[in-house]
Amino acid sequence: MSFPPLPRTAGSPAGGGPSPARRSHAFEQMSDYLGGFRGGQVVDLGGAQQSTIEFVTGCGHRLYAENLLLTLGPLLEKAAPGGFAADRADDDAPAALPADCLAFPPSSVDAMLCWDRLQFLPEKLASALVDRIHRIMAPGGFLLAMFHPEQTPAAAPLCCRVADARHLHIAAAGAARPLRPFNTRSIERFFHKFESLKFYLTRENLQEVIVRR
Amino acid sequence: MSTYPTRTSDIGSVRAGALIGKSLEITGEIRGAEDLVIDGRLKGDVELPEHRLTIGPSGVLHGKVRAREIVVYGTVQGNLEASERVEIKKHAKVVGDLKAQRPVIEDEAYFKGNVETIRAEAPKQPAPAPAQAAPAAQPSAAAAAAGGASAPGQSSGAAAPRQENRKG
Repeated sequence: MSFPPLPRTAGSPAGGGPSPARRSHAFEQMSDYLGGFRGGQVVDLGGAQQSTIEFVTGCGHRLYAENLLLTLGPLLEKAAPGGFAADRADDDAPAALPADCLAFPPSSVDAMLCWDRLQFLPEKLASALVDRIHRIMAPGGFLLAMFHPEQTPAAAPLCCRVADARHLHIAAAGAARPLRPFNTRSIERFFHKFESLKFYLTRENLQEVIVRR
Repeated sequence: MSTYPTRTSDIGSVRAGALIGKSLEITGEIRGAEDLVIDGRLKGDVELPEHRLTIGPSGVLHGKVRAREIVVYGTVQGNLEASERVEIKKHAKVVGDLKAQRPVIEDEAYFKGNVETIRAEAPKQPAPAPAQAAPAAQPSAAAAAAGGASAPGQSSGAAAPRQENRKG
């Protein structure tokens, strides 16, 4: 399976029009944190979304936006033109991130919106990414990640936009890609360097996780 | 570079200003006091503190920009700073940091960088009416104004997260 660019309709559900906003307890906790100070650095790995920009900058922070799957797409394609299957060993997968990916100084990022992006990366690359995130995040900072249900073999990446301090617009964007399966235990192992994790299960069986650096 | 009204349906309104045409490639710094449309290639910084810079659909800019208003339909690699607004239109590609009062990034635009808003200069307050308002009201009003731009992230009431703390 290849890694096509995200579609032109990113953020809109298949039928068109904006997706309805739904409450997110994990994001609620994140926004409580963001509302407690000003002048922080927030990173969104899902790409630039206007409503997220308005929310984060409205809280008085800077927002760095980068679509991680677009950035890493060529790297993954080069290493494995057929794509990475969830049930296949990823020996050929790149193990190092490009130097210019999340090139922040150590401990300089206060919050990170990872959404479901980690699940679309081969294990080595995802581990390298988590190591880099751990290095660039400030102690006490928060990371929000989402994980699809363990039984789901493939899914389209989620396009997540902030509606307000408690709600998110979430819609699938693009073609389905293989997912690396995660369960609660493997998520805990994945973030073992971090201080704590808190899990929230949504109605769609998405696992939302707030990770504290 | 020529100065004449530019009419491009993609770019929108008809404005008097300078145009760097599609076939032009320029290396160097541009400073000016008129609107500018770049449809060619420019390697260098642009400074139009009181005016608008438009990077047309075929325009490519490598350099920093400081202007009153910046609209990008093409490609920019460099930081953009506008005293009013920066707009990155769909299909545009920008790698660099944005700083503006109103940054707008349309869907389908590619953007990689930091976004930071700058506050609009507060309009000058009229002198307070003498002896009308109670003096004690002023500090609280000021405090309300200071806190009035309430961060959307501040939620009312205590969050009640589920107690599922786990340590990895």
